[in-house]
Amino acid sequence: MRLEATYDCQVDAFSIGHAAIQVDVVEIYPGINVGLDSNDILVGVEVWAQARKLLGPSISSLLNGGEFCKVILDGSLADLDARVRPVYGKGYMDYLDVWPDWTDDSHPEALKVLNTLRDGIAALLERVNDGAAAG
Amino acid sequence: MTPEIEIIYTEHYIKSIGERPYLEGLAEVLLQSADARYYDTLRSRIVAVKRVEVLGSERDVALVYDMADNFIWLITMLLLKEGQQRNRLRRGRWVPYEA
Repeated sequence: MRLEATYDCQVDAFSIGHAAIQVDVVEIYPGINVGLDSNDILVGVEVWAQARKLLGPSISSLLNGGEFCKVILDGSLADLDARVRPVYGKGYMDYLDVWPDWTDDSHPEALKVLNTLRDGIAALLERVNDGAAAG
Repeated sequence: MTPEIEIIYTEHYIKSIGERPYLEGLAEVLLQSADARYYDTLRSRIVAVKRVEVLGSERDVALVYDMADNFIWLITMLLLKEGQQRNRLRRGRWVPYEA
């Protein structure tokens, strides 16, 4: 499948996903949304603030010095979906529904989710480094 | 005399609207007449919220943006779930924002 990953340096925002309409968007970690299609399948991940801080070296291949970087990859979010979704049970839930007393961004269980996302995104973007695609 | 504000449609925002086309055209509405504006204390961004009819029902729509000098940078827009706005206020993540 075709995946598109982007990093917008102007606002420090990242996204990766398939070309699909997101009928549901869930904030699973402060600043990180997952987009789901009408079949509740993960079709996109969006980090809409502090992407460099939240994803760290995972997105280094997109930090090319330009204002906006886009790469096209052969890949799927299915593996990432399978690794992240079980934390939330049957379906993705707003992070405050999962951890209702959470007030900062250092909840240990939530950090596991963040690390899983980082690793999954890094694995997908390795294809860029391998020369599978470049933008 | 009020200085003119320039709205910048960032690449990230344009992409997010492509993925959520049912929200197209609402950013300007939210900027002009939001029901509430908040400052996101965890992510340091402004969030405008307005209840509008989307996909056949009344929903809260959130527009995330930055503002400095006479510029507004649109970042993303999404539908909120019931209780989401209340939860963020209760946990102190969102605080009322006065421009």
